[in-house]
Amino acid sequence: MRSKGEMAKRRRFEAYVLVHLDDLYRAALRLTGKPSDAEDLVQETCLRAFQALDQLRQTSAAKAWVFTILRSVFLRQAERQTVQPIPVSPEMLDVFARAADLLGALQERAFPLQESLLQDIRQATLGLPLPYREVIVLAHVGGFSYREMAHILEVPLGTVMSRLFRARRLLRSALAGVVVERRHVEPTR
Amino acid sequence: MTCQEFAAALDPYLDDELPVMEVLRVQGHLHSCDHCRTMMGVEAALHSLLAADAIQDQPPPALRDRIVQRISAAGASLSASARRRRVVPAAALRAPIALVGFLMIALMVPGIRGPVEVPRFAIEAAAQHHLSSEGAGANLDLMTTDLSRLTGWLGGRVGFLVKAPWVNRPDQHLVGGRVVTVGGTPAAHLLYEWGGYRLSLFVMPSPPTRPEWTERVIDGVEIYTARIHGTTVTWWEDAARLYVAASAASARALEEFALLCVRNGGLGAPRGPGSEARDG
Repeated sequence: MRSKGEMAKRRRFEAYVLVHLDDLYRAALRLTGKPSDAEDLVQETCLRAFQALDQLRQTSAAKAWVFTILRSVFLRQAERQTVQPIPVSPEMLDVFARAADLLGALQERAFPLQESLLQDIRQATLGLPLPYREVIVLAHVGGFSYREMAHILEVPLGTVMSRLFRARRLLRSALAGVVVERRHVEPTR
Repeated sequence: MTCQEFAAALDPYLDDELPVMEVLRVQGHLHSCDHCRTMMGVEAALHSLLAADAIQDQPPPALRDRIVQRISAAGASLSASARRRRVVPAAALRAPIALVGFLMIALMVPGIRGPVEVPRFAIEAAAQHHLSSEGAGANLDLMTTDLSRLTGWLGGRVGFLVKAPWVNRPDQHLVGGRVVTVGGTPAAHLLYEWGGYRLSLFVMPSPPTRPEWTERVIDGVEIYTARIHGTTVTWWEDAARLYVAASAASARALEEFALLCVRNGGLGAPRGPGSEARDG
């Protein structure tokens, strides 16, 4: 027989955590790249969230709170595994940033996105360095504002904006590359 | 606005992060600059792709059950240690928690349900209403007076079209919304300011069987009403959707609101002017 406190906590868990299950799973899938890993990540996240539910003071920020836990669990799991997410140093990020700027500027003129590339966008997202992948996932799967993302990632607002900008340029470049490849492969009519 | 300023504002514009005045400047520039319109088209296409990809996957149906099992096991062990520690909640939270707790208990104990069998979703709606409307800050995912934006945002998350009435008077207006679970079903929760009261409207798929509770028929619309410990809960069906409204307002006020919902579906309502922000 459950006590009143347990029932109330269970209801709070459903109202503030479990209601975001779809988005949590989608985010986990884009972080891990594998459905089985995504399920494990979401389960562990929900368990941690349940155990820490009493610490959730601002219920309006519950979703950001759960995503912060998801990210923390993901980073911890990634540390323990032999196959880690691509390690990215600040210098590498800078190289990626400059490459993204260059490619983006070129392709804005040459290759506007006009084809159905839904299946490619996922692959391109998974290929992004983690700091860029995170902001894409938080912005487009989580639907978070810049301010919320800065809070989740513990970085300044300006960093969120520049990472998003560069991540999208890298995605656009990757997709434009796919378009170019297909134009070469497909026979001309 | 110059093209350089436009380029810098493009991402925040598409991310809905610009102040209203900046939005107007961006739109003004778009009218007069072909190059920036092309750039906008490219960037908007990428945003659309990402948005379409973001809703592609569904978690396996068994995942939810596995999580519930794990937290049930964790809850049992946690409550044992909690009994030892005797943690007392903050005084300010006691009253609402007690009320919501009571409403949840009411689901389980037939003796305190009162003379009428109130459907489970009505009690849950009353509890969710209390959770969102008590205190200074409502726990909304999105605060906005813009009905089109809110219903679009909610619809993308609950997976069905959300219809709601558009009202724009000083004492009657939209406050915002969020996604909740009512009766185990994802529901869109819209919060209104309604004549001095907070009023919650929940929209969710109709249950396979209708509740056995029938009350008033007004203008051809069957409207069910219950009073659950200070909260009036009214529900009705429209186009295969169940609508549940909860408020401390009178039954008559909620019936009027229900009729407004049925007559004024809200789709195509004009976008509200400004005054919108994400709650965080």
